[in-house]
Amino acid sequence: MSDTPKPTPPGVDIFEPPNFLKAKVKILDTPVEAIIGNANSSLAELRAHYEAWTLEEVERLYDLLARRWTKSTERALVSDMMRRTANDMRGRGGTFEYPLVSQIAESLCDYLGRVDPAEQREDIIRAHLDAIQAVIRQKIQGPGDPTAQAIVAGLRKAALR
Amino acid sequence: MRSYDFSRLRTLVVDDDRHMRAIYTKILSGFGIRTILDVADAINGLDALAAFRPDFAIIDYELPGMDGIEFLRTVRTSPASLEPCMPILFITGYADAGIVRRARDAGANEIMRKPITVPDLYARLAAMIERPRPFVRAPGYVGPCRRRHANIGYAGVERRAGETEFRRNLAQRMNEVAFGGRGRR
Repeated sequence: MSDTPKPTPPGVDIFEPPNFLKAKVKILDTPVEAIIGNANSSLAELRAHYEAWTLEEVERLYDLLARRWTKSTERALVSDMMRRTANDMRGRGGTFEYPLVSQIAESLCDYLGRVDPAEQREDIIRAHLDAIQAVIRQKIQGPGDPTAQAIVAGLRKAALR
Repeated sequence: MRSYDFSRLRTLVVDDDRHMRAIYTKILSGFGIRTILDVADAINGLDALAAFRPDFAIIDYELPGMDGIEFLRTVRTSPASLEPCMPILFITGYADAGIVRRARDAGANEIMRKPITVPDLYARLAAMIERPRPFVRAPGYVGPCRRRHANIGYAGVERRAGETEFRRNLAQRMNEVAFGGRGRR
């Protein structure tokens, strides 16, 4: 193998774009922890709302599930709507110290994405929704106790069948 | 990681989940950013690039219609793009390595997986300020250099075609004026 420098291939351009971000910020003496603490305090204002949002979304999913969708196109559409909502719930849970909600929603999201809408089982979907509702109503923040973890593991197992 | 006064930054947030948009807004406001525009889809996001002129954007992967990866590709490669080099933080709820690879190959500066946390978001923003990467325009790729740690001082045997030339160009360009070119607000 040769050490001879080879030219940059034709059509390849490498350059340093102006760093507008750096140009527009100032370095502060404040510790980073203070800025992060301030943002955490700001985020905490949404914590109570988060619980209400999640319960509302669960109710909406129960409602979608209760209707009898007969056409395959309708079933596919509703399944995708439920999957997207589950994905949103997965994304938010950990931010508000509800990792169990994220884990349950992830299991539901995977199930709805993996299984054909015509073969998706209402009882499996409903069990996930029941579990999310219970976690929020009982305010089980953090990883939960062994019982809560066993329930999540059981849901995952059922969803993977 | 340094502390920054971000108050002059203009930020665009694109996420179809209104609750996530509220979360980003709260966190970014907590960082001191005062000018934040949030929109629910990529088309409105593209419109906002011209009308709002953000300094950086946060874009979610899963969006109705055009997804976050198509948004990235459009910003980087469209002849109509006003900000092809704009720093973009790509967010995904999925742990799928394929999505991460596609986002990187579409030109994301930083990639984060949900759930987002305040320290993580701050660290990604600081990284875009402190460790900007050279920009590459090549057949098949336009975006920040995908090699995160270009080892300019490396003295060993070159094992990849063009690597020496790449480093030479990089070293030369890193010494060039960083803030030249066009004016800005």
